[in-house]
Amino acid sequence: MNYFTLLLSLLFTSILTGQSIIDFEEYDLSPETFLDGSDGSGGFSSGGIFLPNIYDTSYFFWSGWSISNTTDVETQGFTNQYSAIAGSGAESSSNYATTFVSGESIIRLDDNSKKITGVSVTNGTYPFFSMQEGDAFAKKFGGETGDDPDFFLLTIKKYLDGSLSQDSVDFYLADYRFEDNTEDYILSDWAFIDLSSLGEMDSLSLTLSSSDVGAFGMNTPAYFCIDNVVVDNVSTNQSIVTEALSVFPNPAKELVYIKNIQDANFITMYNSIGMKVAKLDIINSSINVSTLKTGKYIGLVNGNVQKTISIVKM
Amino acid sequence: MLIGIPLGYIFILKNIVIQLLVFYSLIVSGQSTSVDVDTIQVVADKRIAQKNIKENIATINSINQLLENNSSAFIKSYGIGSLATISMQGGSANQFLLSWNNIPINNPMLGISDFSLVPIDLFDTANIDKGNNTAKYGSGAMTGRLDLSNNTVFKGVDFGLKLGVGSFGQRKIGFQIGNSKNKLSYATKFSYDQSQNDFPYSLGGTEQTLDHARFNNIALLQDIDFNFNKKNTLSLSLWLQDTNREIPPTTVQTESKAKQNDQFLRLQVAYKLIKNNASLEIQTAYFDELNAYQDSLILVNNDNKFKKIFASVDYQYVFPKLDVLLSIRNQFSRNIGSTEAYQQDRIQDVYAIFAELKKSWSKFEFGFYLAKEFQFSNNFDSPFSPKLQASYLLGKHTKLDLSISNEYRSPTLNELYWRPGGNIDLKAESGIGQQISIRTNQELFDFNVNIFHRKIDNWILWSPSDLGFYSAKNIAAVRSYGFSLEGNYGFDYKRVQYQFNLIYDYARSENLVANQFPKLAVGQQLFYTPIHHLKIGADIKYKTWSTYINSRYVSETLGLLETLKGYFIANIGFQKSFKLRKYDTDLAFSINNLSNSEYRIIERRPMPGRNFLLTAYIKIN
Repeated sequence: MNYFTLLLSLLFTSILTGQSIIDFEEYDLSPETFLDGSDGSGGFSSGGIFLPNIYDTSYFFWSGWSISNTTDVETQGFTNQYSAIAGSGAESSSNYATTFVSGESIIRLDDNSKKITGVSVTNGTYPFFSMQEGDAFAKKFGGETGDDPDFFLLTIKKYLDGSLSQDSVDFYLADYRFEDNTEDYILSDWAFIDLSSLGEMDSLSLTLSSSDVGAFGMNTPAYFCIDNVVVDNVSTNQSIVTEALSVFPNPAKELVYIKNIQDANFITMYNSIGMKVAKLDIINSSINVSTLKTGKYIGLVNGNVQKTISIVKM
Repeated sequence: MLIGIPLGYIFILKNIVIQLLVFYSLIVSGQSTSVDVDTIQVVADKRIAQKNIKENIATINSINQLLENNSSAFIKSYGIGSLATISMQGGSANQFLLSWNNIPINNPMLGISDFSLVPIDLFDTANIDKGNNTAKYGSGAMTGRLDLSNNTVFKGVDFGLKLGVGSFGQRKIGFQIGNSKNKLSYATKFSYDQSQNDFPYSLGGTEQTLDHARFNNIALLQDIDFNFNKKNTLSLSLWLQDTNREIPPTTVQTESKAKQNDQFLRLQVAYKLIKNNASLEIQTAYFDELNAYQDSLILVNNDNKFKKIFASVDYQYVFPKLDVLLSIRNQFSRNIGSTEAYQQDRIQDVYAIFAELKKSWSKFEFGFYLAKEFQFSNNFDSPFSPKLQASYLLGKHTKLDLSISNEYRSPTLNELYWRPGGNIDLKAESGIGQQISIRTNQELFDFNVNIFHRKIDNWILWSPSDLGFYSAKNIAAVRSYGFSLEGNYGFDYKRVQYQFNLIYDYARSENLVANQFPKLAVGQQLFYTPIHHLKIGADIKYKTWSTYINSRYVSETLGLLETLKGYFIANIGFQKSFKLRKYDTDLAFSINNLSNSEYRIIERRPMPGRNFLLTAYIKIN
């Protein structure tokens, strides 16, 4: 199955079911490996979401998201930064996504996706042991007496039309605030968070906070893992037929003319791995593809799958 | 596969950041005070303050102890054998220079010196020159300098053996042997220290024992001097050391498997010629040092190495009829830093020229100093550092000193090249410093008041970048000001010698630029920098018996995680000198932290309670 077919099939699946579960299993990883963005891809597309990654080639430093299938639940410290403490993806799957949160981590929805209604999360092995055993910088939760009301909190908000919502969903990845210390916990398995209350969104903002803070901010390692992202797509009550529009010239270097393109303003362009790369304005039934790199692209007219184009950039 | 590399760097970087910030703390006072190990000249009252090391070597067991008890230095130590740094006048640890025979030995990668790596038994003299000394000694001497050296002895065979045993598995073995014959003189000094450091401490109402904190250090110093004649001397000094220590867990950490090994070879050769009114000294040195950090728990193994090649030519000329001294010093050093985080060896070539001109009148002395460094390996040039100093005799025993100078500290190799976060565009920390001091030496007492002020711009901090890693930036400005009082009073009564001393420091080091990370407010005192620091001590000597008590109070400090409470520590010691067969012997017993105070200098790092040390020194000559 080529990427175009894959993309279209994913889109159709979304339309037909109205909901898709993104499990990152399409990434073909060798055992005990990860993708940290060092290929310069800028992030990871899966289903209807995009997980941004920043990789600094000068410093070999990444932040944002990575895709991992590492299963190390024993090694403490940052050398085991990609592993989920659950030892696998959710529901014993292979792949999952790990994020290093620098400020906030973003899950971006594409134009075909309307909202994320839920996500499975767990702690990374690195923060799990940091909270359970302490390390040179961060405290063992409970502190010196075991009674400190420590917490490691994931806060999820949405962006819609460029604005960050005030509403949030809070989830404690670790919680030692209970009067009864036997109730204290550090999450070590996958847990599902219902995000349906957030409604439609353009993207999700995920931030971490901890009771263990100092002058340099949070001492607890700023990592967690996600899997099985549930995405609601465009309306499920309508019968949608996709129409592939004719374009010429194709392949093209600059201007591409599109037939039967009335009442459309823009086309969202995706590259061969399904990553959104551009939003091109339609002017006089044409788009200018000169800014695109050489390769195959699929375009969604007005950002939805009812009308698509397929072009090759020379 | 790049697993671990990015965050590995963060970890180490965070370690450095914390260290550097931790080191901001150290305080002291201004003005030049000589702390001479061989002749401990606490304050310049020769009648009461001179002690011979032969009488006291048994009670001096670390340079930290020496400086804490006999100078206004603030030593921040994590415990016996653990990291210890010194600072002056509210400056950071890398704003204070440590040198050996005038050659800087600060780690050029970090810019600091760990005083726990200085075995006191190897040295005869430690001279502190406090405050505003960039123009005299170069980058890193912004708040002062401590120079370690040995006195050449040309008086026959000299042998000494020191043994010690103390709490928490402390063991000490040291010996020194020296000989001179004809024109050749040599001295060999050996020192071995070890400690289990398994001291108890209270935690949440229960008693805990510090785990994984063992320390051992073996060091050898070899001095060879050849006197061609009275005016020509060739000297060779070799300092070898191997230090191993376990890094204990914090109070909120279940266990630690971190270890640190420091090894170094320091070799220097010096030629000195004195002729009429002139002197010429040529020094060369080669240092090869390793700092290895291992943590099997988190699979970290880092070797940080550097080599240093040093050469200097120092020429002095005295115009006797004019009472003028002219000194010119040319100095070159190449530092080669090597660590995984640099990705490649980083070289720092620095040429520096120092000039000094002094003119004396009957009651007045004027001095002008100038330093300029040139760095060839990058585009960085340190600013000029001139210094004007004037002294005036207010009376027969009282002297007034004034100085104003431009101070700077060049960025370290880590600040320039560490990945991620090193910043080759950094500027030097620099600013103006002023000092005023009045010193009086009277029959029974001496007293010194020193007032200092210094404003440093482009203060370098490691701060989070947009990508999430820490990066070195010139983002802070700090104003430091304060004063110190040092007094000494001594007298004899019925063949008993009494001596009392008091040192008080008031040091404000205020941040002038608000910053988010690290969180700094305008006017906020720098981290780990106590405002008040008081030391009171007494020595009593009767014939061959002597005793001392010293105490210090450190006011509360602002830590990176919380405010640390002020604390009071008192130590007491007893010493007896006698003949063991025909050999001079000193036996000393000291009790440290007499009141068993619970205190912390760093958050989550407990300090030892009451502890004991018994030492014996036998001298054969």
